[in-house]
Amino acid sequence: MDKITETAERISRTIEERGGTQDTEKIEAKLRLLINEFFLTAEDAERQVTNEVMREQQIPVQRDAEDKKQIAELQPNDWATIEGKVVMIAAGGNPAIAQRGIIADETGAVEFVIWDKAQLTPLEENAWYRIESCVADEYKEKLSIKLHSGTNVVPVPGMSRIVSQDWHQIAEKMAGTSKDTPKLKTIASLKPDEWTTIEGKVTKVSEGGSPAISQRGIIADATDAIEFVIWSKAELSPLEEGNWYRIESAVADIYKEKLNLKFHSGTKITTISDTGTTVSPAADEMGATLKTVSGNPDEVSEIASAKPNDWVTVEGKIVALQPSPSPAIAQKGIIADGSGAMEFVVWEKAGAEPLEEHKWYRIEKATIDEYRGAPSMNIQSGTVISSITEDRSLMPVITTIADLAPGVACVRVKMLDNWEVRSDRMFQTGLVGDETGRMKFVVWKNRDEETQETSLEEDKVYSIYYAGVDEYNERYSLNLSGATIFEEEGADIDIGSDGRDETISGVVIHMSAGSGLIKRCRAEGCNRALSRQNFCPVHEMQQEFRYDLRITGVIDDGITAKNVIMQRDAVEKATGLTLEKAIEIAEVSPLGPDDVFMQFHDRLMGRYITCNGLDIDGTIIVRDADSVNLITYDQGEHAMLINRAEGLKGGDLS
Amino acid sequence: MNTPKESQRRYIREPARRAFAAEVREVRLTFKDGEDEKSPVYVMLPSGIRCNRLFFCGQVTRKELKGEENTFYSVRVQDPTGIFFVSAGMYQPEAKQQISRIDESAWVAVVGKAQVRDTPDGATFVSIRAESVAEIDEDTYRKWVDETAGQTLDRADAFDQTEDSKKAHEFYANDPETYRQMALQALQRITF
Repeated sequence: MDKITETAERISRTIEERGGTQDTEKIEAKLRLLINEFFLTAEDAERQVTNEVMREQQIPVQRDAEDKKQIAELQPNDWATIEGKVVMIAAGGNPAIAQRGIIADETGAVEFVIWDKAQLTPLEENAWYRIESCVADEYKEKLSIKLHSGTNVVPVPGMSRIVSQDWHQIAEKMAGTSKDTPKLKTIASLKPDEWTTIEGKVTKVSEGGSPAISQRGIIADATDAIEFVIWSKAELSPLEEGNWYRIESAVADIYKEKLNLKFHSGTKITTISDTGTTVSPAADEMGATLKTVSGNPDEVSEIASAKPNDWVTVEGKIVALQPSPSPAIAQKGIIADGSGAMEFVVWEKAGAEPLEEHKWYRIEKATIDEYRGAPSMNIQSGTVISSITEDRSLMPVITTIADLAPGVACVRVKMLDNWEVRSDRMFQTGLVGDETGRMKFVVWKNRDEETQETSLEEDKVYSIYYAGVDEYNERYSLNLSGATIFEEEGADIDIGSDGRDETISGVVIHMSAGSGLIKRCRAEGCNRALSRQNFCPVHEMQQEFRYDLRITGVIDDGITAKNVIMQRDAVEKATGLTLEKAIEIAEVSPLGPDDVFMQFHDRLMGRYITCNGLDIDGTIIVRDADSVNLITYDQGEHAMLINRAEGLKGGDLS
Repeated sequence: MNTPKESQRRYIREPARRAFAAEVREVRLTFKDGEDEKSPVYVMLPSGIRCNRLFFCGQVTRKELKGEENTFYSVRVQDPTGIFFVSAGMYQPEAKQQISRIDESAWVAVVGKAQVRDTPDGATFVSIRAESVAEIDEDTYRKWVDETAGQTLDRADAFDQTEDSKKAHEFYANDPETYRQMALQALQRITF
């Protein structure tokens, strides 16, 4: 029995179990078609055929995928939605696999596999994601999750929770299965994401500089040198300067465009005798720039000038305290002085007296770490905290949007636009702006239901103290959760043009099929356009919907072609058809909603029009009636053109 | 991974150039930008700009359904300087359907691609394969004439100063003055 027949029988069983009638032959034929003709992976084909048959037989879909699961509770063959942090990325190792790695949450960790066919954006190490509709799978008694084309990956910026350390064991097993492990490599030949074995001399060691890292250093062989990092959890004994070691199953990784070698608990370290080989001179150069804790802990430094790997003493005010994300962390919050503000973490191990909000402290010998591109202060066992009794004044430093960098900042902005909230955890999202530009903002829902989130209202001006500036895909956004927000009554800000507000005048040269009278999903916070069969890409079949008008098309001025999306008010003005009228046409006409599309086409195609709106990724969003105007023939312009054509005749400009 | 991915090359839609029938009729140079099978095909407008797509307006002077099994529409669209020969066949179902609803003497706006073909008798024939055809009013037609005259004058002004116009000059051995005259004559035909 071949694999397809096997799969077909499995689907039949599933259908039968759920009260449907099985037709293995038909299922098998469909599977063969999908796998052989459309080159779907067996998993994707199985899913698709199962869905199809269930829809045909009107078997209610089990909404497993909708429930968020904890990684520890995943079972083989689950379709699940999980939320976790990507703790490690490894190479695919097989052309069908785009990426492999480990994702972890508080309860556990699991290997993930992204199929090449899924065409998903690669995940980034240390970022949090919600992975909707992935499939848990067991292979050789090892559970992994597969991300296929139907999987929805949603980055969860601003998330920081301490995750389970189980992943070190998984990393060890992954290393164990890798064929590359036993082969000894030269340092010069190391590539990112590779499991390797090397032999080399440790030329320099330094402290980790962060509680998660027990040691850093430089290891070199004759060909080259590389920085190594030993995770605290790996519980490896520190390496000694000047000794030669054989390092098995370490993983090469790129951090800040520099290759380094990470030692996990699965990494095997053996001392070997001095081979007498002269190591590459690169070792000295790298040793000189090895990230060691720097700074002068005896002098008070300004928070704004503290950089990652610094060793600092600061005097600052605790301006915010946040719930601790993990038992290992005693306190978490924001500390500020006259120069700026920064996140801080007090580790449980530090055994420090709890810091109080709104009080000033002198903090000696804290280390500065980098978390998602932003500096963060670590208060550890060596850190000395003393309370400052005098009440100093603290003027928050306002940063303009154009000057924001990842970290913590105070801004004075006008609320411009509310965007649709697309996640259950999100309270509000939209756009704010000041004289220098605009930026997306997010307010997350409070875990603690007693405190009320502040909702920003459009066109009002706010002073926002100590908001998080997050970076994702080279774009910044403001995280206002926990920030102090004051409304400035009666104030206004002229929003600076940052080039994203655009106007195009030209011809409506193309109108896409998504234009016309559309139906939107009514699931809370969704609002996606439904297909003609009322299918939402996320919430599947929907009985409930709301009508809307939309035109997605291209406006062309002969020099450039620009994508535009017109929203209801703009569409009503440009076409002269109201939503009510469009619904009536769709209900009465034998062509249904196609009639509305054809009328839009007839009224707008080939017509001259001016559109204004925010340019988002090359598409102008035209929101209201004032942002769209039809252009008509202009006699004055005509006369000027005749003058121009005549005047230039003979090439005489005078 | 923290390495920035090579920025994905975004597909950029080719603009639809504005040119009068009298200029399009003279097109002879067709070329491809790149070796790739999917690289866009251009024609070089004699006034000196590459053109993958055209947008024009005019009046339908003749509409015929031709062909036996695979029928196609052949439509003549007149602008102030001459005639555009427009066709829409089985591979342009949208345009074909749109043309079927349009009567002779209607004002139309056409989006399409220019094709240069040698006829059996040794002549060269430039036609437009329509992507989309829409019925418009005369006001929009006048607006198009003004816009096209303006852009034709712009090209005449920049003649010999751009890479494309240098190539056009070399290939067509022409004088930009021709296009200024063409624009002026087109403008003078609009009396409103």
